[in-house]
Amino acid sequence: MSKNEEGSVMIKITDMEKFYRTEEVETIALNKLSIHVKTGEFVAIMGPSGCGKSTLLNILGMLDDPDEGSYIFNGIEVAHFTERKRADLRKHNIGFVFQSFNLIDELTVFENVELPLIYTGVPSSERVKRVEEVLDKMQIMHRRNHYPQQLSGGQQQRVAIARAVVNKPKLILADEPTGNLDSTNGNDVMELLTDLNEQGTTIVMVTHSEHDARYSHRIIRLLDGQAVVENIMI
Amino acid sequence: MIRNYIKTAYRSLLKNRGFTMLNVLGLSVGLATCLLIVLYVVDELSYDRYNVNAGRIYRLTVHAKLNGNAGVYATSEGPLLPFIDGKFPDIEKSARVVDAGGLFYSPSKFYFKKGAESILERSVVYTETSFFSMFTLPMIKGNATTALDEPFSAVITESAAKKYFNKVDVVGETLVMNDTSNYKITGVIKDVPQQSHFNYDFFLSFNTLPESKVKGWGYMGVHNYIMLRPNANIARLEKQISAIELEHSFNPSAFKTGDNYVFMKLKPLRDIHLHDEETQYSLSKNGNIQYVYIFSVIAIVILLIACINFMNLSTARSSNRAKEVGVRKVLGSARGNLIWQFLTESTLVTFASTIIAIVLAWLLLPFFNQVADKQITVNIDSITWLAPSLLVAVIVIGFLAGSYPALFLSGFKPIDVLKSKLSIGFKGGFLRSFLVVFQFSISVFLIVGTLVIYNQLNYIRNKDLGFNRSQVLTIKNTSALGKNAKVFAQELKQLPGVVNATVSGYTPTGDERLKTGLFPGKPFDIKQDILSEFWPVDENYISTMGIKLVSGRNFSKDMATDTGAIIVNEAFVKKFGQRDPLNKMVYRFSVGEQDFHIIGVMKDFNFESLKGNITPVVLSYTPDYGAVSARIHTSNLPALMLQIENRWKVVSPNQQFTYAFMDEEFDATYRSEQRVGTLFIAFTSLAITIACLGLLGLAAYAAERRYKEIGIRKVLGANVSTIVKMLSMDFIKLVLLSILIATPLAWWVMHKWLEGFAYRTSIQWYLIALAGGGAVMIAFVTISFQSIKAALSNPIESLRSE
Repeated sequence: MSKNEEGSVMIKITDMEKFYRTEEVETIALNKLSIHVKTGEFVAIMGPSGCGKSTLLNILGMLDDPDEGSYIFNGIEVAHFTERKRADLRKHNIGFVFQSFNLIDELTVFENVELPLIYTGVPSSERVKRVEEVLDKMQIMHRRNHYPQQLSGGQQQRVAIARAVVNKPKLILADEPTGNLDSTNGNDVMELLTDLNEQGTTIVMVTHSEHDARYSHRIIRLLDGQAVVENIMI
Repeated sequence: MIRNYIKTAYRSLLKNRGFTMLNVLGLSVGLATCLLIVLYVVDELSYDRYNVNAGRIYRLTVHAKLNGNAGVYATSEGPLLPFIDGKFPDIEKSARVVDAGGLFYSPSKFYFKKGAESILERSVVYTETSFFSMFTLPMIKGNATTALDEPFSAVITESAAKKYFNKVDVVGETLVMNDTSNYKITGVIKDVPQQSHFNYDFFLSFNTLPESKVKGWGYMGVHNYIMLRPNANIARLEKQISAIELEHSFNPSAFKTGDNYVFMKLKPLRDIHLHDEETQYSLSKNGNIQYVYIFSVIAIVILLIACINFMNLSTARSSNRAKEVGVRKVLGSARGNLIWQFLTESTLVTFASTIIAIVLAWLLLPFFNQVADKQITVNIDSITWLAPSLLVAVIVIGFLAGSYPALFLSGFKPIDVLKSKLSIGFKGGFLRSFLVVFQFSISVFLIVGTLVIYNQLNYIRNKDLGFNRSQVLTIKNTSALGKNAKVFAQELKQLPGVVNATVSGYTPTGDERLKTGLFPGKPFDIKQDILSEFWPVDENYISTMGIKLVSGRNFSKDMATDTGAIIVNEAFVKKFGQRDPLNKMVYRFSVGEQDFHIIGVMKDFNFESLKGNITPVVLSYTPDYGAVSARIHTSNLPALMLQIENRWKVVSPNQQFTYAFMDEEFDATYRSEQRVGTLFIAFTSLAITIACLGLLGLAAYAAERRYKEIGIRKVLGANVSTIVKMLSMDFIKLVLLSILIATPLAWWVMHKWLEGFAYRTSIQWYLIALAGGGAVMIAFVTISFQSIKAALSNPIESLRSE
């Protein structure tokens, strides 16, 4: 790989292993997995339950560390970063979207979206501007003072996406983002993610839905902790 | 960031109202109790510190042992201070103080005239002018440098001035004492602060007393206070004064033989209130450092229980917070941020609890004062130390209580909690089990302690004291009647409902006491001195008090020789050493020599605190008109009292009718023990209540966590009682473990406490069983409230939610 090519790779995972141990059983979640994601790419990860999708997503999101192998993110080896360093890298570079939205019930729509900006130390006036901007973009501005419980599922996922993108992350990790939504709302969310990708954000999405996967550029299929097939979408 | 923390914390607390209430309530009650105890302890520790020179003032204390009698005495020789005056440069000032107990030649009761009425005053003391420059007792009227220089001068407090003259400026007025002496008021001082080891309203000039003219050594009734110069050599001074004391003692050679000794110690003023328990003849009933320690420990324990509640409830409900932790971590929060967040939250709860605690403590203070016999007030002075201390307490407790939940919650793996994989919350909480065991061990310990104290107090109340204290009415202050007191007693006896009546100020439950040395032979040998209570009584005393005669006979007014007769108790006989003491002679050296012959031996009876053994008592057939006691037997007490009072008004129209029932007086002897008992019971109840609040919360969360399990079990056929049993057993096991840990410890500690009583009950097995059973019951009732609620829920509800 030339230096130029390497620069366009955002995520490079090589021979990654992750085990889960209980007293009697050791389960291999990732088995010498090697994958890469280029900057600006939209990748879907699919596979049956227990194949290691979520483990992979956790490691990609720097929420967990691998037992073996290397993880290079934007040219930096992060596999064995400390918790603080990972948190720092995460809050500046990665946005998350979950199946169950994971909004904080005690905070309003505005406050939920504002949260990542607080952690990155953005000044208050700037925060208001950016949150309003993104809420506008997600067409949820009129709900800014509502609490999550007062919103529909589709609206909640919009808020979650707004929160994921407010910090202008380079990478969005989406874990079954339409899993809890009806098809209309699901499609809306997928359109939003596609828009974001077109504006330059790299997206890695775990999904069970072939329909959703079709929005991506490439599907990585996992089985027993290994990548078995890669489909390039045309 | 902080704003965000506070906002989330506030909303989260509001959302979980029940939990917040339990936490805040537990912590508030705990903190309020603590606050009251702190006020109590600070009050106890602040005694005599109002004196600017407190650190340099000492009381001369005599340590002596003779003839097997060892003692520490607050009073020492009258001529001592004038003798050492000017001899030791370390001594800057000195002042002699004589209270009623130290008066041998003067009347020891003080009646002051207010109009036609004579009022008995107990807060009277004789002292010197230097007293007012030594102690910080600001004189608001009069000249502090000469006030008590002249005989028959008096300095009185502002309250006394108002009481007798309705004004403060009373310098130049005259106080008439006992109808015979006129004291000229030369000064008015501010009232003596409550936190003082003496509390007098009338300071009379020392040189008025015949005792002050005693030039020879041997008069031991004086409290000698000295004020030292800074950096004085105390050990050297003690040696020097001891040498002088020994040299001038009654029998120097006796103190040098065998294990006898006499020496002087300088008791620091600041130690008198709390560290002077073994000292006799102290100026006032002092406190006890033991109680200060015990209550301090109780305060800490209660606070610990409240903190543990906080920890337990916070971690138990962690499942509710897990998602938030996960989201925050995903959004870039480092663990440190989360720890800070939870600490902020617990500090906020502690702050709110503290505010409530302050209000609670303020509301409870009057009641607490009543129970603890204190007059604690919160003023600007106390706020200046209280406010910063409370702020520090809020932070410390907030951090202490919040630390475990903070570490626990912030350690969650975000993806696990967000995907609900983690069954966090209830199961596997070893630390939580440990904390519950700790809390309940303390509760069981306190329950055992309370039961033992209650039992012992009950035992004392019902013990056969050797005299019959029930239905004895004592009419006080009959001294003014003189011989007419006898006539009054005769008149009482005529009343239906009065069985018997006796005239003597010395009653087994009263505070009139006279200790004297009696010698079994002549010439007097100090080594054979039998230190005895010497009570002048009449021939009706023994029958009225219900004292039993073991041998010999009672006094008789028909026997002329009985004026020199005495009746002794068994404790005296033991010291006397003669198998048959009847008709033997004993001698007393008081104002001249007196001879007595023993005509009877009475059964020992308790007349002091049951903490000590019975000491020798001698009844002498000499008149004392201090009080009239009547044994009554009536079903209509109010009518009888009215008749007696009417009689009183006839014989003594100017005197107030003051009376007491002997059993009530006896109870008063144990008031300090009872006070401690009551406080102990109150604090124990609080500790248990707080622990139960915690348990209630834990049970609620256990039920919540096992909601689905309960549903499945019910679908599979479990009935309500099985579910209740299942939910309760986890906790009951912990409580049983607590009982196992706490009871031996409680038994041991309470056994030690009981050893402080010469007359005591033993710790019965059923007390322990009662405590254990009680703890299980309380725990079970608390838990079952939640368990039954959970067990009765519709299983479909819980299964549908999954």
